[in-house]
Amino acid sequence: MVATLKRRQLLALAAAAIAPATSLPAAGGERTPRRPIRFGLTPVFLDDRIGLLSRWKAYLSDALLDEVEFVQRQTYAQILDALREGQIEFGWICGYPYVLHEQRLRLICVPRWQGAPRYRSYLIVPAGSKAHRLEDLSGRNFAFSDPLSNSGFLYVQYLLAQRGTDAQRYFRRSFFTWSHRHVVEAVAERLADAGAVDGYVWEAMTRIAPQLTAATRVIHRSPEFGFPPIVAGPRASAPAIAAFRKVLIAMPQDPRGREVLAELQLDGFGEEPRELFDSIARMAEAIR
Amino acid sequence: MIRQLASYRLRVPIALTLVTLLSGVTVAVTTFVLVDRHVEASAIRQTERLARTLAGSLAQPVLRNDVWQAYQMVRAPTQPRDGEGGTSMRIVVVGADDRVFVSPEPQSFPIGTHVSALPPRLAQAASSLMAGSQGAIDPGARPDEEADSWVVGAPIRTDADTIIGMVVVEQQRAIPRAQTREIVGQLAGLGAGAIALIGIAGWVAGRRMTAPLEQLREAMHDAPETRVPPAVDEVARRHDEVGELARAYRTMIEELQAKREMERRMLQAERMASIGRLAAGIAHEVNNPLGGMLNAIENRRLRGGVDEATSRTLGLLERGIEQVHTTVGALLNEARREVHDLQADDLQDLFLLVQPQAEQVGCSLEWSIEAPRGMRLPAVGVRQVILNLTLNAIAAAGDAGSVRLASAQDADGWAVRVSNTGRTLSQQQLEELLGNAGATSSSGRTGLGLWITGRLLHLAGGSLRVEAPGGGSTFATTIVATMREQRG
Repeated sequence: MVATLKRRQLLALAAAAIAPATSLPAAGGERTPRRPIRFGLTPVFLDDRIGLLSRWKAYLSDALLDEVEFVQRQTYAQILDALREGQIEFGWICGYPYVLHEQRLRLICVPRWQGAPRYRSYLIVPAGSKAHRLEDLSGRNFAFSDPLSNSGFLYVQYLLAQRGTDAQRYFRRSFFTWSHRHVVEAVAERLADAGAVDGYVWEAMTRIAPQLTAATRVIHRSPEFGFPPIVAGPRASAPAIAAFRKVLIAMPQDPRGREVLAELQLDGFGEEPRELFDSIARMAEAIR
Repeated sequence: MIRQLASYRLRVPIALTLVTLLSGVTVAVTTFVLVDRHVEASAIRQTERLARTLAGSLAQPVLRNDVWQAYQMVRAPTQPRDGEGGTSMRIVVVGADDRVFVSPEPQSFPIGTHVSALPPRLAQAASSLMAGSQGAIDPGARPDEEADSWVVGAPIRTDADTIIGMVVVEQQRAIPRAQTREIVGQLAGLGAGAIALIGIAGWVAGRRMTAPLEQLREAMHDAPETRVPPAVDEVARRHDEVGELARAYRTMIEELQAKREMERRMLQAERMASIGRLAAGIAHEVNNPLGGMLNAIENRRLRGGVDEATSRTLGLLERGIEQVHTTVGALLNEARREVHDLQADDLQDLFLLVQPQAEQVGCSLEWSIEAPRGMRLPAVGVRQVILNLTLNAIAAAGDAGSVRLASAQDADGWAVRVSNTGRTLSQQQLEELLGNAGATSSSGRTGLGLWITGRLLHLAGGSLRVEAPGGGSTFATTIVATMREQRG
């Protein structure tokens, strides 16, 4: 069975295994046993690339003069819980959970993609599908990414709510794949007749896994929303937040930072107002 | 035909060929059936194990309605392996609502499809399991002999042992039935070819094995009873049982020949014995008057008044009658009735006896025999031998021929050479004549004379041989009679 596991699953497992191992505090010693800075990642980007992660981590550790540890979990909710409970200091989460838990989280910065801190949600169908609108998908099987994803869940919920229905009634079956990439996969392999996916992830995949995106077709693009932000949990201190923000924003000035950004297919990180996520907050309010 | 089949010539090759054919076919069929059954049984067990494993690990995803995780689980075993076109396995997970929960082939079995829309065999497996009692797991695999796949089902249970779904696995046969038939056909074709070749080899081997037997049989069949044919000798050189048989046969023939020879000799001896008895009777009848004649000659001498000429005639008569008497005595095996040593007179008498014979025949006779010196030889026997040999020689030389007698003495004995022109007599012919009394020589002479000669010589310790015709000699045959002094 192990041999037949998908490579990316192995990589994800390996990444998860590395994380706690490196987080063990050094026992005794002269140096102050400092707790590493822990940065929680969610599948708002293609988070299964070990090389990219290690380079990014190396850049952050060097820039912060402190050890940085990446923490990955299966769902957005697990990372969110860890943030709120102070197990991790920082997190790259979706705008939807940010607006839900705004009181306990602090906005650090927002990635800039294609010149703006915004992205869209895509509705995709298999390349050979005859569906062209959300209306064509009634009674079909639908793949969401995560219940706490804006582009992969909230937006479609909002659209359906506006039509006076919900996913349970509108689709025959709907299910979560827990990552945008897997939504693309599920639709490409026709497990689902359609899916909601992060536009940034889909576009990034056209370069990384073109055979998957080529098997899908985008039938709907949402209005622009605030890009999934980098936030801090209650445990992070103000100087730490400032330092982390500074390092992220300075990435385009550093060769290694530029390399990582290029791999992320992002322009950089910038300080943005909280209002960037108002549209998401309104949708969240609407389906409550 | 049946008689032909009874022959080893055919039976052995046919048996070999049949055994080859039978074993070839049996091995091929057994191998194929065993491999087919074994592979299939093992594949079915693997399928059952897969179904149970999947059912176990699918419990959580089904319970949590996590289609994606379930999809990843069922997709893994059906992933086409490198270098293989597709997969030979179908998996369908059916939920408690009798609808497809997930399948690695969503295009064929979309999520939410009702069980009734599935292919009949899958639907049957799924629904029978669902409808089945809570505990009983259907042993599943019932490979349809005609179908190219088997279907195995396993229930998905929660920890509380509630059935919340089914895993149905359909495994294609590694070799579809149609292909199996094709393979069997090809196997049969190739096998038939190979077996035919082996069969021919078996036939040839069988023929080779029986060939010596056949050779021996033919040799024995055609063999005259008197000698061992060369074909048998050839077979006898073999080191196997057939060779042994041939040797035994040869020994048997040789013993038979020896027996025949002995019988022939016994018959001859009997004949000779009867001739001997007849001769003895005649000799007895002849001896009586001869005794009277000798007495009459003696009486005439005693009365005196015998002149010179009469005295010589009487002497001649006396020695002649003595000669007859002794000769007859030889026939009676009463040799040496009157023994005196050979003297020149005896030889002179002989010349007088044979001279008229030679003249009568018309052949020349050269007589240069000298009496032995310092050697005592029985007169009667030697006279008879020389007489017989000379008369034979005269007869052989015939008209205008010539006969010569010469004597020589050396340490070995006293030898008389009797040579004649005319036909050549070989040592072998001589021995035949000596050995076979009554046998007729090629010249038409009855050999009784020579036989008696041989016997007399034997009694006198002598021997008889033919001297090879020397270069320049005008004589065709020279017989040498060598006589030795009897001692003791």
